Amino acid sequence: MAVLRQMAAVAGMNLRNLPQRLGASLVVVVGTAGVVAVLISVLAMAVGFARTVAGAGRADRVIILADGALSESGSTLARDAVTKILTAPGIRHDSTGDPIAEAELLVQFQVSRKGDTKPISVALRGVGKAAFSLHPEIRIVRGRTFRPGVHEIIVGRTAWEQYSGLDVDDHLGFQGGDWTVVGIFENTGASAMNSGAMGDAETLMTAFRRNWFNAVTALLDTPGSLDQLKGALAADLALHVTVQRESTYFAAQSRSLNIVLSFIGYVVGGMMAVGAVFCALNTMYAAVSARAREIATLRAVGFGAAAVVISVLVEALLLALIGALLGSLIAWLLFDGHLTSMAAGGGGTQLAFALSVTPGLVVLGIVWACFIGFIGGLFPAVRAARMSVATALNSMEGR
Amino acid sequence: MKYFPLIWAALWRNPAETLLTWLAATVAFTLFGLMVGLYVHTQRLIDLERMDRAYVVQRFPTQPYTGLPVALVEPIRRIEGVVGVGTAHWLDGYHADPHGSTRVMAVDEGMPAGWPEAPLTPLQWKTLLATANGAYATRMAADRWNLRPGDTFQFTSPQDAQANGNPTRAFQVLGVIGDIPYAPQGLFVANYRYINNSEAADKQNLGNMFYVAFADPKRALEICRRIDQRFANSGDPTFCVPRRTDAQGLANSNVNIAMLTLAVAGAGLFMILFLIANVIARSVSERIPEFAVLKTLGFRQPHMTLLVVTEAAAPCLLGALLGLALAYLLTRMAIRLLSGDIARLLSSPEFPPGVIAGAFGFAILLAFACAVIPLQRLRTLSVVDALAGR
Repeated sequence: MAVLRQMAAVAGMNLRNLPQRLGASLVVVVGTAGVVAVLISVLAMAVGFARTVAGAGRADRVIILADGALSESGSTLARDAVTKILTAPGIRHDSTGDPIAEAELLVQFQVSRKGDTKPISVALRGVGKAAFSLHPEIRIVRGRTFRPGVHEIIVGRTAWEQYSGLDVDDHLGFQGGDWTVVGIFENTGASAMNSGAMGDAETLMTAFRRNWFNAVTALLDTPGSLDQLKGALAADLALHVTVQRESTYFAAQSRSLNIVLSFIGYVVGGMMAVGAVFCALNTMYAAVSARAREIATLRAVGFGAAAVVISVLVEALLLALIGALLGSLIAWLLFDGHLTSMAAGGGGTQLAFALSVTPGLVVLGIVWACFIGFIGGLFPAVRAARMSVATALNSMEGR
Repeated sequence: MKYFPLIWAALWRNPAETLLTWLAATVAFTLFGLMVGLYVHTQRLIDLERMDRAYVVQRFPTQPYTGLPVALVEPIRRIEGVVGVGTAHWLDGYHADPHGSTRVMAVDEGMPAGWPEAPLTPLQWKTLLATANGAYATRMAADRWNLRPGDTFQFTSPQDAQANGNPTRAFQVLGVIGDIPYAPQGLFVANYRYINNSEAADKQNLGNMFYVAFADPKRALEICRRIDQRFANSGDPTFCVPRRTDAQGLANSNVNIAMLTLAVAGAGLFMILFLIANVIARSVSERIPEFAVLKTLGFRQPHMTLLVVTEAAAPCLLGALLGLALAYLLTRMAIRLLSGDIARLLSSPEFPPGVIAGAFGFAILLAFACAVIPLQRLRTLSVVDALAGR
């Protein structure tokens, strides 16, 4: 208990005279804040992207692609293949006996960002009448849904917010003539869809003069029906398809870009952390040197080495923690919810997503800051504890 | 040089502090080198692209990309201002290992005129177009698979299977050509006729894109507009974009590389600005009596400025030197240790004289910025009070 009281006393004394060392203390705070802000900002991109792509993929929803295709944009399924897939066992049926499944196709059209003129590609997904049963998380937030057989499309909320010319009743000219935006939708699950648009599959196939689909999406009878469906499709030697849960597919889609973004975040953050450690070491060594006579006096009157070590460490950790909170706040204020887009959709289409500064990232930033503070404070703390009392008391400036 | 002993003594007054400051500056300039080098590399790729060259692609593409009918080549070639049009058809697949993806670019006889700066000599073009299953490998691809002229390599493309269902095509390596900037992981340039003849009927006579060369770069946008207008109401509307415009768009289609790299470099330099400013301020503060003595001996403000700025610049300049060297070594190591997108990203930074000069320039600027407040203090220093310890 005496040791703990000593630690508290010395630590409290150090913290009380922090304002006298404001400049030096700012070095640690600013250095740590910079590290944490950069780390969290870059990782917020990775988190936001992963959340958007992965969404809330359901365990009972599957996506069927052509064998060897890594994504929907690289998959082609002929009509006869689609017919066989839709009649396979394991797929749920609605009250009228129709499978809750549909074939979808992907095409593109061009728009520009608000305030810009450069054309960028946006994904347009052709869906069937089962779309809303298959994706109950989709809701129309403005206008209405499209009618089959007519040149009408509905636009995702994020696309509507980011790009110009996508409001309800706006007209777009692309393949097949004039198309009207009749509604804005929001998909609260797989929010990657919100970066694009949807229309009637058959109408789009006619307009784009193609006769194949990209993928089939289906609801399983039960999450465990996956094997039954896989077995049935594999048994047909004329069919060359792969079946996977939506969650697995989306996780794979986001993996490689996530790895790159995370790598950038950790490498850049790591390098800045090394620099911040040197800054912290410099500051704490100077702090210990400036208080050498103080520390020696405390040691002379009976305070233990542990109390000295802990007090220096507490100071360093506190400064680093303040820096971490400041850096987290900067990252949150500047980037949380900030919409950005990347050419990460299939075929080079834009995928819009919001950066996400999560509590997990803030905790990670704090852990990194504590590491910086600990290393930055440990060596000076040990030096302070091992300082010769007599030498320190005799020195003019503690050196 | 006569003040060197003073500066040296000041720097080594506290060796640990000097060393740590230098190390922090080194880290900051390593980051600076990587980030600014990456920015320079991106800009160079954009500058390498020309305005008198353009791509023509489908305006409203499907996925997978089908392409434009090669029948459009002749009408494009007849548009005034166009000097050459070549067809390029891309196949994505792999050789040997399904995880080791690569690309084949199949080109036709119009490509020498549409892409005159391609890394093929006239003889190589002639050989390629005369050899049905011939292909040239870029240096990166040849090194990756240890290919030499005369070798056969099997290329498998599940999404571009032949009409008979076989996804694998055999190519004869005709030679090795220079790397192409936008294909840093290697590429094979093959004969369009060979690929086209092997495709299913509904996939024949299509090209993913046309490479178009113009006579006058200043008219690039106007000619592109005319090309697009020519086919606007057809069943195959086109989208023509000059290559430099396309490169600029690609650079910004993901995260704005310029903004990210310069922001991170700036954050690193800001961090050490605080450190060095604090170190210099404390150093000057602790040596006020020394500076008072120097003033008494006749040292004027310019001499003080020289001493203080040099003391601040020393760790910055040394840090810049070592930091850039470390950045260079890291990027060269990346290719050997990493793979794929990450290796490509880290191996990209370039260090032309401008980047090196920029680093040293920033180091000196930092030194001046850090010395401002201490120098102001020295300017108003009272010698008597300083010597009396007041």
